[in-house]
Amino acid sequence: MRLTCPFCGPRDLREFTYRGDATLRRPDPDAANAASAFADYVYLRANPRGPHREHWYHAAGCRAWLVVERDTATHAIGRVALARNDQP
Amino acid sequence: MLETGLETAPKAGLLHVEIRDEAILLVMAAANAAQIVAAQLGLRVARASRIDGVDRVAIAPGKWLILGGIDQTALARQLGEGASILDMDSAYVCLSLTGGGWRRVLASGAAIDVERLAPGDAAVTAIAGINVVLWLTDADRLELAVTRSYYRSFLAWLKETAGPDGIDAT
Amino acid sequence: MPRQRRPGTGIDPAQKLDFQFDGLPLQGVAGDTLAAALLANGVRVVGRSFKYHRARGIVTAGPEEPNALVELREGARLEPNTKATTVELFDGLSARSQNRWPSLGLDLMAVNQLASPLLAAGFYYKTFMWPRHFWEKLYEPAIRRAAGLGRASGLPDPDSYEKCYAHADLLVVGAGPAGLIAALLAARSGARVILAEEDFLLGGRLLAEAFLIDDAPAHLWARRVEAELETLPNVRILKRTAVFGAYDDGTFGAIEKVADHLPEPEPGQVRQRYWQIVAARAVLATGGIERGIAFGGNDRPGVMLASAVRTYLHRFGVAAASRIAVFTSSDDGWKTAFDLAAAGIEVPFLADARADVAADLVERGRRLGLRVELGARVEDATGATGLNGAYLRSARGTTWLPIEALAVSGGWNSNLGLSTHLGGKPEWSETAAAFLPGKTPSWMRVAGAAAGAFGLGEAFRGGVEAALAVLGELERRVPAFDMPIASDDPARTTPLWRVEGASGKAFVDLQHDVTVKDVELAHREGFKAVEHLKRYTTLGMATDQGKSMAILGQAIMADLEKVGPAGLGTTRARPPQVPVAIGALAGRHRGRQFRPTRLTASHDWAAAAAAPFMDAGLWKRAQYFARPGETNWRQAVDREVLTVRAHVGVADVSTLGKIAVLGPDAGIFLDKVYVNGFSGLAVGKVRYGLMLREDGFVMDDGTAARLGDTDYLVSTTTANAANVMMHLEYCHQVLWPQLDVRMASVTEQWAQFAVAGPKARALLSGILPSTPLENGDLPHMGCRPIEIGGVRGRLFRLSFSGELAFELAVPARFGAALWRSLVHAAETLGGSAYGSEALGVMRIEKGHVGGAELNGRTTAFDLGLGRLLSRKKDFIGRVMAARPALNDLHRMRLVGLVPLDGRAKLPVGAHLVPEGERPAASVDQGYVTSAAYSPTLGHPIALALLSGGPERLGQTIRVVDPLRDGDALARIVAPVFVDPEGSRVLA
Repeated sequence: MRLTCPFCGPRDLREFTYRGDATLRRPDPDAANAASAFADYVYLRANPRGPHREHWYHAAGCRAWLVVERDTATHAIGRVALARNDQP
Repeated sequence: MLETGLETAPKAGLLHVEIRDEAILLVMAAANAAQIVAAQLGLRVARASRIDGVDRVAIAPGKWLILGGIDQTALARQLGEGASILDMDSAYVCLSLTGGGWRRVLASGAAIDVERLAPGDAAVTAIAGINVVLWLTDADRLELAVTRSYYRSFLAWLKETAGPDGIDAT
Repeated sequence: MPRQRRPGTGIDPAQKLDFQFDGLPLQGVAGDTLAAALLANGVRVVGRSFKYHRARGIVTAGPEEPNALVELREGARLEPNTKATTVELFDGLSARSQNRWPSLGLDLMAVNQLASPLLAAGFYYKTFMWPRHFWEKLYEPAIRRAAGLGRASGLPDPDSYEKCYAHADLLVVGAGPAGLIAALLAARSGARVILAEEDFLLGGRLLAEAFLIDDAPAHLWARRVEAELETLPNVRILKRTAVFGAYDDGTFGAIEKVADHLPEPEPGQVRQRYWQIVAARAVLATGGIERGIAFGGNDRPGVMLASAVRTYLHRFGVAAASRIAVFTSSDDGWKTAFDLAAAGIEVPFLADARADVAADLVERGRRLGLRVELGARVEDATGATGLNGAYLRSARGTTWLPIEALAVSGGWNSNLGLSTHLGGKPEWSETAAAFLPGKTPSWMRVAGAAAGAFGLGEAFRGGVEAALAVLGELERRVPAFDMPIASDDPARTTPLWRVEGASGKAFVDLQHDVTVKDVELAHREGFKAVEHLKRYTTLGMATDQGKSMAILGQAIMADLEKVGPAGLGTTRARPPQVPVAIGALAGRHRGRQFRPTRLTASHDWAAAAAAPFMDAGLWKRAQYFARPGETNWRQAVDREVLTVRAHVGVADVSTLGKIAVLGPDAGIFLDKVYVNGFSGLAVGKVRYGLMLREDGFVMDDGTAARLGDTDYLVSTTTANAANVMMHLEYCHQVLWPQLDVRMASVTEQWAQFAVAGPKARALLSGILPSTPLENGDLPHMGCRPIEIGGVRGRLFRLSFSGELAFELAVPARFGAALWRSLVHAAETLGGSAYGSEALGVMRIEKGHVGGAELNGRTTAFDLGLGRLLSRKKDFIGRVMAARPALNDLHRMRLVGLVPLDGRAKLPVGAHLVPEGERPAASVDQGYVTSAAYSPTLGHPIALALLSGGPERLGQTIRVVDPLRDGDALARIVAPVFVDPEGSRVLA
């Protein structure tokens, strides 16, 4: 597999480390439901078959965190963006 | 087949390794100041450039290495609050590679498109599993910054991979 | 007696090569494969089959060969199971047949044939089952001895290998007609092209057939194209290179046999090269593989594939025998009869299973005077040590005819393996009578015979079409080219999978000795799905992967199931398509260079002191420095610990992670990642910090120093340096991108040495004479910049050992020199260097948690560090760490242990059970995490995680280690053994 890092260009997959679902937002730790919101945030994943937005880290390269659109069924890679620029 | 840098087998000729014992600075731009700092460093489009013997290399969004004799105080004044500067002269061992089909040697350890590397290009990547920064300011010479602790392993790999005439590094 | 060598498209008959087979000296010519040379010398039997030890001969002329597996070379380069059809002959080559004892001619293991009813498919599951204990002691060793075909040398591989990465616009796999023309077009357009061909010559079947292109012999066209490609700088031709795997995003793996055709690699030359190719587009022109027919005795030496007979004739100038009959269910078999006749080789008969054959073929056969039998089948072939005849059944009845060679053609398969690696399921085509590639990724196309275009003209058209499509996608202009004019002659085939009425064994997998009866057995036993059939019978699982015959077995099952090949499907291929030597995949990463190693500034000094090194990730850390007379590691380590606590010691702690965190929001940022506060830390102070994961468990511990208003230095454990860096980058780039903070790993920039012991201050005042070091100037947990010999460094006052201690950091380029000064200074004060072992003993004596306690399953509460968690700020892991279950008193929590008898070892990993109970998981209450002999106290000590530990101080617990027969009683104590008040660090 190959990923195109927005800074470094196309690179072999081995340069990157996978983390997981990028659509989750860290809950408000002071909210009343913080305990259950954090439990969901830490443990629950939708794990869809199909398009998935996920975090990858360019560990052997520029060390940027990336948001990658990947199809979990076909491995087709769509858009790749720097996470720092990709805030909702 | 003509000489292209695409040789399938290591080329004859000594791979010349020159250690560059120079100052190295890491410049990290403040949030939102990356483009300004890049311009101040003379790197608008290219990822690597050499000005007055000093190399500037972009290694990450908002991060640059500067190699060579540069007045750190003057640079700090110029960049001001826009960037942090760290001394990194021991973090890497810097080398220049010439001759010996260095592109073929590089292609044996680096998964990037070596054939297309041209002056102005830079890449932070791994060679045979060792983290390096590489760049070109001249089409016939490869500049490398090898993470210091890996240097011996890197040299061993280079010796084994170089063509039949070997390398002349220490 | 070598047969007269005819001319061949691939050989130079003038250049003779001497070689040996089973000790017999023979001669071949340049361009021969070993198989061609053996046939030229009349060698019919080349091995014995796997299960039944039946005599076997050469069947094919390519990598799909099932039978001619030989042992090649000698000594350390001994290579078993090498296909003689792919071995490029060289002078002095030595090869031996396999799987026979004492000799090929007399193989005593052939008695297996008598037991054949018992050796049918699945016999493993049915026979070696009883009595159960016989399996380990008797059956398995016996099967292991009898299993396999060749032997490995058992010696280290003397050759070297390398890896190479290549990028291209277009990868063309296969240099037959379709591949050559596709590569040519793309190359002329200026695209970067890589052409990979498994064979040592380009041309594919153009070398092996009597084709004409533009009215000239086909192989000349191939030569011309090759010559043109060689002049183009944008083309890389990889011969002897098999593309073995297709992976996502245009990535391919290929293996180049650089020196396999030489007796030895040249000096400095690698034996093989593993290519990783990234191509924007790919054209698979991998050709076709002919298939056989299952009839009785279809494995007799002398039974060959019809196209192979043509290959040996045209390319190698070898007549496989002096008389060769033909049995076919395809027009293609007739080509062999015609070519043999044209070469003056007698064809005793041509039997076509089809009653209805194209009139022009029949007419041509008649004109050549061939004995043609239509609607006729070979039922059984006879001759245990070599084909001597065949029972031919026609409308007139069955006759036995004496023949020594039989060319068989059951039609063609597509060599489509690569097209299936990314999930494309092959689809059965009635018109092609073959499985053809299914859906492939958009960047991968299949052309030529591999796509079912089995005729030459079709193949050219397919190659051109693929190239034009690729050029369109790459936006390259189409170059001028001439479409080669070639006869089309697509061969019609009516598949015949098996001949009914055969009485002898009819094989569907020659290498694994799988017969038609085995397929029927699998069907009776319910293993009907094509993947079950494969595994139950081992059909297609040998080194030839059933390329030429497995489809027969699958189609027979499809008929039994009455669904046809389209309904049953075919098995899925996975990489590698050809065997790949592990050494080639390892490349340069073997022996000492298996992984890179990371060395610290003191490494050379330590190596010169003959210190043993431990692996901390990729780092090498010196364990201890033995003195003359010390014969045991304990002597050295005990001495080092006592020396540090009595005098002073110096240790290299450079490997711990160091991360610079800078900027106006650096302090706020650290507040978010540490459980305790850092934004309020004064400049010049150092604080111990704990980092949690978001799930509330401890990730890492370390110290952070405030070097300036906006300048912090975070330290991590060695093992977690990269993880913490990744985590901090995540927190900044993803969670809090609005914070103005910059971070960089500076682990490599700074060499850092610990100076510990009562005389530490005395030592440092010698090294740093103008630096004030008293408690008032540099209190415990403080830091300051220093200068030493004109070099700017840093001095931290912190202690891992529990003694008065400092850490001195200088740029790593000065580290070796500083280390030597420090060791010298220590020794003049009665101290010494100490290594990782003594470091470990001392931190256990002080109860400082280390990697063994930070195992990913412990919380701050478990480690007795719960009081560090701030109640005033948010930090990573805060909410989840507050979960009631993570704060339950019964959790396994940190305690110390001392042996009740003052002597017994309490080994790491030992489990804690109540005294008097039988050790069992149901009463398991915890385990030992760290253990050491404490020279300071004179007895073993341990740290452990014990259920409700801190409330059980003073109690007795049983420490059991069943793996190493350990069983001792211990007293539960507080997890700090030396200087519990912590007064020594404040000296």
